[in-house]
Amino acid sequence: MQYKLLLPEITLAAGILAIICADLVVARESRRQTAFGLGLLTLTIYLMAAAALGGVTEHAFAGHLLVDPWGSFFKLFFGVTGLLLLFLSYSYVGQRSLAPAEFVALLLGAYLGMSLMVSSEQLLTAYVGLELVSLTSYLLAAFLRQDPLSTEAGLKYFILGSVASATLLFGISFLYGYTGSLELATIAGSLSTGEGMVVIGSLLFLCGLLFKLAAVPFHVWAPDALQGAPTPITAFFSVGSKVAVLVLAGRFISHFSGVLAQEVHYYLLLVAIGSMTVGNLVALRQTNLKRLMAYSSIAHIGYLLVAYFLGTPEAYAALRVYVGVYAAANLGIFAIITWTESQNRGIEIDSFRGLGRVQPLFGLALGVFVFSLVGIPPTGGFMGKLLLFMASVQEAHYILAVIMVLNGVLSVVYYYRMLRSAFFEDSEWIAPITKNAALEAVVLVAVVVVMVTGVWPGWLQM
Amino acid sequence: METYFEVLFFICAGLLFYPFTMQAARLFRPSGSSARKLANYECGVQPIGQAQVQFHPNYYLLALLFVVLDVEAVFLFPWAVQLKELGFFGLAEMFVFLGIIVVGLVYAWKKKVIQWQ
Repeated sequence: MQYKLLLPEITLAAGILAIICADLVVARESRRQTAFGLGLLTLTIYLMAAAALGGVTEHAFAGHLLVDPWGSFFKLFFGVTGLLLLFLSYSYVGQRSLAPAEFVALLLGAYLGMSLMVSSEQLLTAYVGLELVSLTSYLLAAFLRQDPLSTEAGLKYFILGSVASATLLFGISFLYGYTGSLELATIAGSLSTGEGMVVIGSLLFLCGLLFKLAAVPFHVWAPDALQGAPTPITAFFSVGSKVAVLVLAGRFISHFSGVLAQEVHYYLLLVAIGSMTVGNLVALRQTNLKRLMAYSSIAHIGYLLVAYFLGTPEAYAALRVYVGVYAAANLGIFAIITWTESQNRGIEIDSFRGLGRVQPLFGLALGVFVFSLVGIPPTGGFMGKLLLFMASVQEAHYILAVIMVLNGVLSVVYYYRMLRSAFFEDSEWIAPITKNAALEAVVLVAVVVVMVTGVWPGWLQM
Repeated sequence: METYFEVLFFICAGLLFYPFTMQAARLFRPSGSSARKLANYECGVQPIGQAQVQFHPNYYLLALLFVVLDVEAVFLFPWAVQLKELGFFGLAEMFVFLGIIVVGLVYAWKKKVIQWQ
């Protein structure tokens, strides 16, 4: 039965409908609990369904759906990050009295799109998935309706995102026009000839994807969109939708071969090095935590694109470790940011002042995450970077490895400012400090993931 | 590429059609105008005030609902034609689709989109 292969996505769709329906019948006071409870339930079933398909490699629905271990790994990744995001946003939604059912339903809608994106080698299905992610993302970015920054973020993201979607579709139309097929495998046969139309189509398609990834030179929208969006949604943008786009880009790039491959790989290398360097350099001057994390995520996308440039099995293995650890550390930091924000401390780097004193757990965890993002042993970030360096040295790209190391050094400066603020500077915390069990749970899970990966990265490669 | 010449022809014809007809009309029509002639045509009713007025935002929500039902109809027509071939599976599939749309409608109803304040 084909529908068995689609079970994770069906679960998400049913969950979304259930959340919307439940919101209409439940009393106002318990709406948040209901929405988030159903969201947790949906994602748990989604995780189990995705895990059950773990080792399957199969095409279904006339080639529209492809279930393979590479996609299934990312479905599991989405399930786990989705659960953590729900924990992350529970108190946030309550504190700002946002509409809970809409919030959870839109978030799950984005996950549905992401799940479709990673399980397709057919451009139209992939595009529908991508658009589902994009449309829900625009709405989520503008979810703080009273906040002008959030509205600005949503509008900017919407307009620029639509341009990217148009570029992508334009590219797809070129590819379809030339090859008469939307299947990546069929298109790939024609790709190797390097015909002008195919080169233009591929480049337009990749430009659209790189735009959604916020890779340099398509990154200008990202800091504004990520700064204005609600904090949990900023976390989602940096670890959720981007990873799904990355997987789609990887599926596309891995089909390149021949003359065209060299040319496109060369552009990819430029984009990767540009993203790393520009992201890290601009991050040096940021004072707003969300903007800082936005530029940091641009830099990390650069590292991840290096894996595609190399294209070896070792590089892909490194990518898994890197993505897993990066997501854990990022979610952890965003949990801490959400907590300081909930204490009316704002979202500047200075709002971390005295964090190590008033909330030692978060202070220490911040240290772990920062070490991981910089790449200092024994954290998982070190392992991710090490594997990536080894993969690039193996392919005799020594200069690339040196550039990556230098960029790592550069990133120490701005990540260190967070730690300095938390431990070596102090300020009064006027409001009474409240604990938040959900955020503490997220931080603890993230710390465990980062530390375990530091000594045993193999669990992310199984 | 040769097959695209037709497309090129239609683009050129489309671009030229408007200036050509306007100029041609100029040759034949009587000229001269009055205040009444320059007024907006509103189905024979005398226009009152400016055309740029504020709309109630509910118009947009209602329009959105209308579009949803429109799209639903777009899917329903080809389905109805092919229903015999699709069999029970097609019937069930369409009811799933209609169910999802009904959930959306009920949601909008309960959130007082249809209610006019």
